[in-house]
Amino acid sequence: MKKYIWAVICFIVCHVLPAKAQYAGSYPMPDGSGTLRLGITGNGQDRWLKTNDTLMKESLIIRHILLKDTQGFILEVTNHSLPDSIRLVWALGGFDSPTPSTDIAPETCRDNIFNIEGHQITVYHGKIMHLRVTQALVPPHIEVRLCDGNQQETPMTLFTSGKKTDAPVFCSTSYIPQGETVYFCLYKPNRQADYAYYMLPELVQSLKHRP
Amino acid sequence: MKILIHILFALLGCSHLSAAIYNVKDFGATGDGTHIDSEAINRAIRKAASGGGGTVYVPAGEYACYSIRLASHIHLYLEQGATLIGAFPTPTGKYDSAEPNSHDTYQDFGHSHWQNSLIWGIGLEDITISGPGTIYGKGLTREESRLDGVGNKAISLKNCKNVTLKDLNMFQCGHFALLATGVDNLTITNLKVDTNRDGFDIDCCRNVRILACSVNTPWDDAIVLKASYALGTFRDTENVTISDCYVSGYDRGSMLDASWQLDEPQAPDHGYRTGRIKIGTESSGGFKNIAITNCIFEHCRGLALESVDGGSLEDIVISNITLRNIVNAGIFLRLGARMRSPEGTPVGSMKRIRISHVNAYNVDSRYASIISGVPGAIIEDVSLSDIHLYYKGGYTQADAVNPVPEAEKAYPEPWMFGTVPAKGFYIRHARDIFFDQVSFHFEQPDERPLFVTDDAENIHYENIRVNGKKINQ
Repeated sequence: MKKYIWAVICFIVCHVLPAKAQYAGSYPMPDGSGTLRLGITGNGQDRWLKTNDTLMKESLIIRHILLKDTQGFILEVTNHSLPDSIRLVWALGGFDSPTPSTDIAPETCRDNIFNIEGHQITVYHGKIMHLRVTQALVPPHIEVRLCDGNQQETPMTLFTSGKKTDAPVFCSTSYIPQGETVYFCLYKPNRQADYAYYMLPELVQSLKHRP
Repeated sequence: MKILIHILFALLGCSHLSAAIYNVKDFGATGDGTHIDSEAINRAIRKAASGGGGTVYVPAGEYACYSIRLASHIHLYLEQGATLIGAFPTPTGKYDSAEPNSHDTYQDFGHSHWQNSLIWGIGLEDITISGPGTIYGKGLTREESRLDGVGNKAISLKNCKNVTLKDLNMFQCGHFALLATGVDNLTITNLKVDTNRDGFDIDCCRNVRILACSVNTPWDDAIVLKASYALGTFRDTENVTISDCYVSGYDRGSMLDASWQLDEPQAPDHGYRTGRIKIGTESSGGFKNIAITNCIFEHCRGLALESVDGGSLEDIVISNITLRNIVNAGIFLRLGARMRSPEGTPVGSMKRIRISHVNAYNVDSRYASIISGVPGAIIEDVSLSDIHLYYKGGYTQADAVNPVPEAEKAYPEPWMFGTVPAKGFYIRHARDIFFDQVSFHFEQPDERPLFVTDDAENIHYENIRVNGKKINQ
């Protein structure tokens, strides 16, 4: 019984508390190479999620889980009660940020190169001859676009900003039916960390149960 | 009676012809873009092969596929309106696994395996893939994932002979639109390729005709000759012609849809648009008897000839080339010592190279043009004649004293040298280099010297002009 209580405490410390600390609606890589920013659009709303956003307490259940085999994290997003008319907007950018940042600063986006293949986005960043690669896995999306990181006033401003830019940011919208869960994963790929989107639910389970 | 006999023979002839054509829809393919049709297509191929060969006919429709396994004596024909679409892997739907290769440390994963492809063939003969249809590698990856079931090439051939690819459109094809390794008697004609990594990789192949193709590859090389160690032996790529081809670096997909976009100047390697014709980089084996003629480069990197893994690059003729809007060195010859080959392989050689009748306009000036071997391994017997290079210029006297690193083991790209101290040609570790009727034009003044040589012997200049004026060298 004692063992069981400790396991529950450990789980809360490792997973639930960090998730609450991430209520900013913006999730940077631990080394600063990239930030995932979430917003909503529809039903007269068009805004980025903010720190302690009531929506994230009431309608969207978001858990932030750090990966074990590499730098990075998985975001588990469950639509608890978000109306069907509202879509989740997500943006990826700022891959040359020297430190983790909840903002996507345009100056950290220059020459970030995005390659999308279904659920997988590969980002090339860094400098010539010192290239860095960060991988993202994203949920089913309606349309994904290269956008102008200088225009982030609202999610739709960014989404409709066009690809002529010196600060490329990737942006898309996803519809999550009520009661369903989707995943985001941002990580540094290596031989151990070579994931596909369909592997994420199982990976989350294994991370939950790994000591 | 005579007429009846003729009709009878004609009918027999027709029935014979139809017997040699295998419509994939007769084997269960749906062409609805949703159901996976590769097994139906493979059934048609097996049936045709079991009868000694024939044409596997793909009518108009969208055919979602995993691996299609070619067979000898098969003509895979894609009708107008037919598209083979590479499906995304799922927990249950997968491309064939990458076969083991004990020599895969000498070249990238993509070069070392063939089965993990949309269409593949190993050890086959007499194959044709043709027709005005499209191969769309939607679910193929250009990245380095080694997950089982992931596909990374559109067409992949190993140790085959007598192969023809004709008239196809190819879009977004993963690591390579075509990887041909150890293929003899290969003809590629009238293909339009617009893809997100390499176009054609012709590796360790003999007797190759690449003719009248358009290849747009902003994120990697368009037409590349290689000589890797993927077959576990040193094998040259030889007797190759590349003629009447167009290569470019427009935004992905915008050549095929003819929107010709230029909004994404950067490539993943951060060296700007790629999209060129190149010999190298994989060069464990050599390159011999190569002719490149009547080709057009646009919005891409310049002409590159590289041997860095021990191969001999010799007897190369390049003529009648026009280049516009070139983002790095107009002409780049590099003999290096990366040595991604079995231990003990000596450094290679580069000689007997003829480059003539080249016009290159709006060439980035940072790297000028470069001919560079490494200490102890020189580039020799190169002639450059009837060449016009229109550089952007704009560099200063201070740039003329930049030290140039040897970077013997570096991946060969002009950027490895930084800003070179010459505005025309930088020549190092070379001998018997002949410049004749070479004209340089500079959009802005460039204070660097025209030629800079280092460890260079018998560099001969004749009829050299700068901005139209003949100069004495």
